Amino acid sequence: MRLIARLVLAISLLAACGSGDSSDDGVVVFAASSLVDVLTDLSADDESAFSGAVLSFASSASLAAQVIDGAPVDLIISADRKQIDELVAAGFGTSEPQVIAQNSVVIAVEVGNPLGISSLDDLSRSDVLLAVAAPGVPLGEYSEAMLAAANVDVSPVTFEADARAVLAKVILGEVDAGVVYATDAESSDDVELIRITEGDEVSVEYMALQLSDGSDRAVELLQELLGDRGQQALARRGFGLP
Amino acid sequence: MSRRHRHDARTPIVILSLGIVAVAFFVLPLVALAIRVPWSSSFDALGNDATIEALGLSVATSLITTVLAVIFGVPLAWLLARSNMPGRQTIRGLCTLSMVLPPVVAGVALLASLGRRGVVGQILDDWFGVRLPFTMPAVIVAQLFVAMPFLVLTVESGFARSSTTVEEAARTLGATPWYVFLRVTIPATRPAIVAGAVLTWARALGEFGATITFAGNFPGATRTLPIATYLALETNVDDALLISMLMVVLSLVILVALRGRWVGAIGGAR
Repeated sequence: MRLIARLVLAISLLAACGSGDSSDDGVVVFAASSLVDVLTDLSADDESAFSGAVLSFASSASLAAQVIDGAPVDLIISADRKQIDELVAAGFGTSEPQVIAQNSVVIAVEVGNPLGISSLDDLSRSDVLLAVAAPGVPLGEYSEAMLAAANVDVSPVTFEADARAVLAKVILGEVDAGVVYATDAESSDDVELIRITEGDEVSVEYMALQLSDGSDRAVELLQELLGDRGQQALARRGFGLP
Repeated sequence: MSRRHRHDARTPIVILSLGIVAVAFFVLPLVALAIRVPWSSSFDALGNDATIEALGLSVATSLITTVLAVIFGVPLAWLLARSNMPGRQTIRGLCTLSMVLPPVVAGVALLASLGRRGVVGQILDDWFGVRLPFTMPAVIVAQLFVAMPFLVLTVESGFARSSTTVEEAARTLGATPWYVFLRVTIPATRPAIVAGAVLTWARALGEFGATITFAGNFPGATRTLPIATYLALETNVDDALLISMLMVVLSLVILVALRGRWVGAIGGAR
């Protein structure tokens, strides 16, 4: 009997430890990894609603998977409508999804462009080592669709897990070219950005979905992104406005 | 380990309850994984070529890594345990640091040294046209870098524990140092070598961070099972669960198979 009583005590103590954390009122934002600079800028501003928010960045697909698995998130910003549609279909979301920014897909090459890469066609050259994002990640889907539409047959040496990983491989000089978001290419002085010829380019929409019920702070965050402060921060980092 | 030391009735309650919590902590995720796995569709996903390819690559690379770790790690462990080499502490620290580094950092360090623009990689490229990143050898290099320390440390403590009397006897009988090492020292340390090799193999099989950073992700060349699992999470969670279960079963089978033969070795303590 004593054993059971002690076990019960131990378990209830452990349970109490666990519930203590949930009273924390930090608002949690999941965002596509290409938004890291913008949201970090905002959260450094004391007047911003993002100041003090818990920010988590990863590919939109893995963020959406975490939300479906029950991660306690107030706001998710995805680089692809597909993930938001999936979340809504799964019964998530306490507001209508909203487009907060736009981006485009470009080619990042080494500064000085030593291989003279100027178009999607050049990516199929055998002397060009190419990195792309993996199919399944939004950037990977956009890249694949863009290359297919332009009838360019490429053989990448690696399919990276997200946009930043592709960029890192270009910056480190491990590949000659990478297909990345324009904002990622602009964020680094170590790469040169090659825009895609008109007609072949794809446009990327960032969509935000509020996930928590009646959390005023999540509403505030969304309003700020669509308001002056948010839109200025996005424009400063090279995003197109909705 | 004999039976008469196991007096369950006298086990202190604190130890018992904390021990039970620890067991639950390890078992729960495995059980939960088994529950979540969509068994009905398992044959589709496991029969799919991409998974088989990743499985083959993982098994092949981790085994090659283990063999290389033994070839280079055992001599290193001997130097650390038995020689009078100056700066042994520093060397031990340097050679086992990769074990505690975040694997992604290990991957970046490998790119900085063996990448196309790396200190040594540049020379390999210019002189021999050899480029490691994004190739299967790069997967092995990444695994070796993070996993070999497990072998080195285990074998080093094996060398340190084993008595040197037999070795001295062999030497007085006229055996050469190399003969003593091969025929006396190694057999005496075999349990530690096996234990270290198993730990290294397990670490290599599960390697993710250094691999995806240094070797990238290419089907058939560098996409190992852990990388396939991670990417499947982005596209098809059911596939990810199945591949995870496959890895659990694979690891379990090997550990159980080894336990039958070499459990004393893996326990290690004498």
